[in-house]
Amino acid sequence: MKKSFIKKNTMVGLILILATSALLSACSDKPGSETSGNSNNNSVESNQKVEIVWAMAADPDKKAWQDAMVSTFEETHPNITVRLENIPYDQFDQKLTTMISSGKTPDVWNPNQADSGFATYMKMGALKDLTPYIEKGAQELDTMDPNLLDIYKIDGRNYGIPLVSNATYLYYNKDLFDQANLPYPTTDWDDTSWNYDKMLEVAGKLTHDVGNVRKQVFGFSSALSPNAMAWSFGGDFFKPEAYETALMGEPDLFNPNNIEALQFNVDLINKYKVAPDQQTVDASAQLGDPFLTGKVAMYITGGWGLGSYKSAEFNWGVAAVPYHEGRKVTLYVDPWSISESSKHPDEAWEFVRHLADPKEGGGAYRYMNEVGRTPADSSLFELWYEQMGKQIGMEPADFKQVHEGSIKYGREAENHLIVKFNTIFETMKQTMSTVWNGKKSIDNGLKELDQNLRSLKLD
Amino acid sequence: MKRKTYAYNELRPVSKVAVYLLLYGGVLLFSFPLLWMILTSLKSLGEIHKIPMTWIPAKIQWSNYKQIFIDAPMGNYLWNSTWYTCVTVFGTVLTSSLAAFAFARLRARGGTILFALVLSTMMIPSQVTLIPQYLIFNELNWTDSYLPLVVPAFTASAFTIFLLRQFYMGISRELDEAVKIDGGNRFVMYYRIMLPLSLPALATAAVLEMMSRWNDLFGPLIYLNNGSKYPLSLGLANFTAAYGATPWQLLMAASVVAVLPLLILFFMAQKYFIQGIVTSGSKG
Amino acid sequence: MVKLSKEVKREERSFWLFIAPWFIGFILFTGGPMLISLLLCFTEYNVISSPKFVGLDNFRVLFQDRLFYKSLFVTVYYSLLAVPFTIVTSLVIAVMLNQKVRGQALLRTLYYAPSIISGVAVSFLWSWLLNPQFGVVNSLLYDWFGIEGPGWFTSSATVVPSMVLMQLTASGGTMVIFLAALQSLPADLFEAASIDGASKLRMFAKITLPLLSPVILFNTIISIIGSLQVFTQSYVITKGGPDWNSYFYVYYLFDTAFKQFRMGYASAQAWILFAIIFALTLITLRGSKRHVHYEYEAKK
Repeated sequence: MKKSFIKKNTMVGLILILATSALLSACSDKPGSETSGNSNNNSVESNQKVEIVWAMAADPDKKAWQDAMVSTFEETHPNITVRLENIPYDQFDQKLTTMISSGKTPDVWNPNQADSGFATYMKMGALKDLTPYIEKGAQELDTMDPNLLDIYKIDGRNYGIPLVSNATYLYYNKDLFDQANLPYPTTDWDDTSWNYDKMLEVAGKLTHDVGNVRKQVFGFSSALSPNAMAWSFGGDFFKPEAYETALMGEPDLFNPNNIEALQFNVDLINKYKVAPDQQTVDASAQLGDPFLTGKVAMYITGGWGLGSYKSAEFNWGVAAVPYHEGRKVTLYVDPWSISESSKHPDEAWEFVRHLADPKEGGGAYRYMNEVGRTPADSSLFELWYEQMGKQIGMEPADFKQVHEGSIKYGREAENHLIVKFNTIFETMKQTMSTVWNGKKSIDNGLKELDQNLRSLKLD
Repeated sequence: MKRKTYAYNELRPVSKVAVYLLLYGGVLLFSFPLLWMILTSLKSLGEIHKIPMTWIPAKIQWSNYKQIFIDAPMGNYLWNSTWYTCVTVFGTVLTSSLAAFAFARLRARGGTILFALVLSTMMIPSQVTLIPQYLIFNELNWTDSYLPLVVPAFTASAFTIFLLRQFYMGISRELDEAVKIDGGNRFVMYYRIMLPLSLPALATAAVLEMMSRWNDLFGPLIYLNNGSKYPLSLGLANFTAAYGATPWQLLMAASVVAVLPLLILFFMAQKYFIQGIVTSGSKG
Repeated sequence: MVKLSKEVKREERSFWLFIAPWFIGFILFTGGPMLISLLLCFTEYNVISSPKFVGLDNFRVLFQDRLFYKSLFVTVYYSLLAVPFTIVTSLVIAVMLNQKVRGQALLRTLYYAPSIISGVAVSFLWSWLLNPQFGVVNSLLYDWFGIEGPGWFTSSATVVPSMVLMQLTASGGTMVIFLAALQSLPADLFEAASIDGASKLRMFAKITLPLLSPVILFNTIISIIGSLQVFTQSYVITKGGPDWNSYFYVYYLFDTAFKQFRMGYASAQAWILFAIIFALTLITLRGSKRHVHYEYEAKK
């Protein structure tokens, strides 16, 4: 027994030494230093099978499409295997951060999938410059609207290839409109008679039984951030530079349009009582989505609603967001990016091309068809209008009008453009919660928000 | 060794009524989440979103349970969770009981400091040690395997060491002396006295460790990259989706599948581990 | 003399052998990362580029950080409610479950059940059950008693107490540990006491509690450590809201680490929390010395 103990002791010693050295090398080996200089290896390995990793935030709806993408790509690229890695949405940023810290990042992923967003990862240096690849030519991008490609062009370099372009719409519950004998809201974004006064009037007619939790119906609500509300009234919480430099900088909260926007939305809740209060919104958000409860007649949110409202047990449609001078709505364009530390960027690029391919059977085509998201590529729009129109029971031409109007008045989402916007967003949300319930005036709320935003350390 | 349990066997009628009322009333609160989970797993997604909420599913959707096995490799998840849990529970309880014995019974210079060190590993939020830890396992080339999860399990856990130490401290020292007089060494003392006397405590520690391993999401999340290696906890998390698109009925059905084996195990095994085999104080 | 020191040495050697597995693990996997995070407190580290030494800057900023105080306050408030509440309630339930009652096995299983469901799933379930508008709890309150239920997780005043309630149902582990301890109490002491004619309550206070004291101490310390690091509830249900009223300390830390990528700052936050927990544990251990009895023989 004693002998074995001694042996154990030497073993322990060995392990200790091993561990210490591993630890030391782990610390001194600063991630990121080993990223470049792989291009030589690539050509040597070109005959061997190369594995690339494709990371996606898990979504049961996308599973079939993902599997199809991997198998069709591997068929045409026999020397490349794609390993799909599904990461739970809520843990996406944490997992990615850990992988980035070690330099073992997935090759292909969409940095907007979780909360952190493109700008954050790009500024961090986690994304590869794709400009050389694009310049070499890729027929898959020929029909892509150049404006969309430009969204992910920073200082003249491209870091992402758009895959979806969700717009913002006003969703309405047809059943509630029918019950109130009201015409559906317009699909024409340039119809200036469909403004916020008109919307308020309609909302008033749709609202009933407020206060009775079991029966109440609200005319209007929205998923807009306070900043997006400001946009829809021609205002902005941040200076134009913020969206270009990706840094929030000095906030610009006290612009009269911002105050008008917030005042209107507070009044909807507290004065006119046609919109649910924060608590009710939170309550329905806990279940999924306020519009899905069937108790909200008009609801402004992003294009993903086209997919997630499929499970609704009522009829619904989409319409134009009410008109206001300077109105802007949010576009959510998601890109495919390649990691800066990717060991096989050429193969990864081939896969991105496959994913972005708008031709029948290509990634973008099937994504639209099978997952039902708004395509980014212009050549797919007509087909998509056709499909969507049929699915939600609208004339394709009307649906087209709604979508094109949204693009016309749209601008790219803040969280994709400003670094660490989700922290800014949470700060806005938390600070404004006492404004929505009327405990704090808008002026005081903005002052507090100003202070809170300035105290953030984001760079 | 004849066993006598301590229990208030002869309660006065009044106290008896009070105990029954409290216990059965309280169990309503405690079984609420479980009940709701089962009911939700049998609804359609549309009904889940319906307001006001319904208790009993309008039409019971057994197909949800079929669907989860189609949508995800549930069998695979279950197998991964099972072996991972068994191996790590064995490793943790074994090594922790050794360390606990040392901290409860053996004197050494620096023993108190070392014990403080054990406790202190629980006090630092894991969020900040995660990345350095990951870098170590990455350096060892252990990522995307179960090694970073299984190997550390064989180096004891602070929680279990502390728990078992507390139980060992309650075991009479008279028996130790007997072993010493008989000329037995410390290992004999551990093996012959501590282990048999602390079986209920060991079983309790094993059950607690089992639950936390079975449900551990963050370890597998960080270290496993390949879907075929995922355990249930990570497989479940993959049923959630962004923007209110989570298929709740499937998530809940999968959660029921995850919880049921443990519940049955707990129900069957409790008389062995809670009521124990030997009471610590009784002397034969 | 020589013999004795040899004996001491032997004891010390076996001590090290027994704790070797833990110690190796500590050196290999736990201690190093802790040490690194301690060093990171004095740096700026965004995960991708090398850490930059900044001296005490992180702490300087931290002590002026409004959210640091807010999150600490919310967490302490939660812990002050959660620790005594869960310890006392779990003990009471354990004592009751230790009686001979009908359906004992089933009752024990059901009381333990919520702890088996994973933290994320159980958080979702509670957010539905306690949904102020649509949840079944408020519906029942309204239908049966005509009461408009509270806002639970959505109101500033009730969000923390709601989480404490939720935590209580998830403390089956604490309960099981108490049960195991109750089961291992020696019957002879109670027999002797009941022959002496002691009342049940007196027996509980004079015999049960002292004998349980090591386990009570254990559960208290674990509960302090756990509740000061509370995270999942606010991560899943409230995202720290409303108005930062469930913005728990570790949730803030998680934000700085994985949303803002400020690992240095997050490490500073972590080590401040560490100091607080360490101090509280030390106080609890010291304070309990007089009340914790490790062997009943000593009291005889």
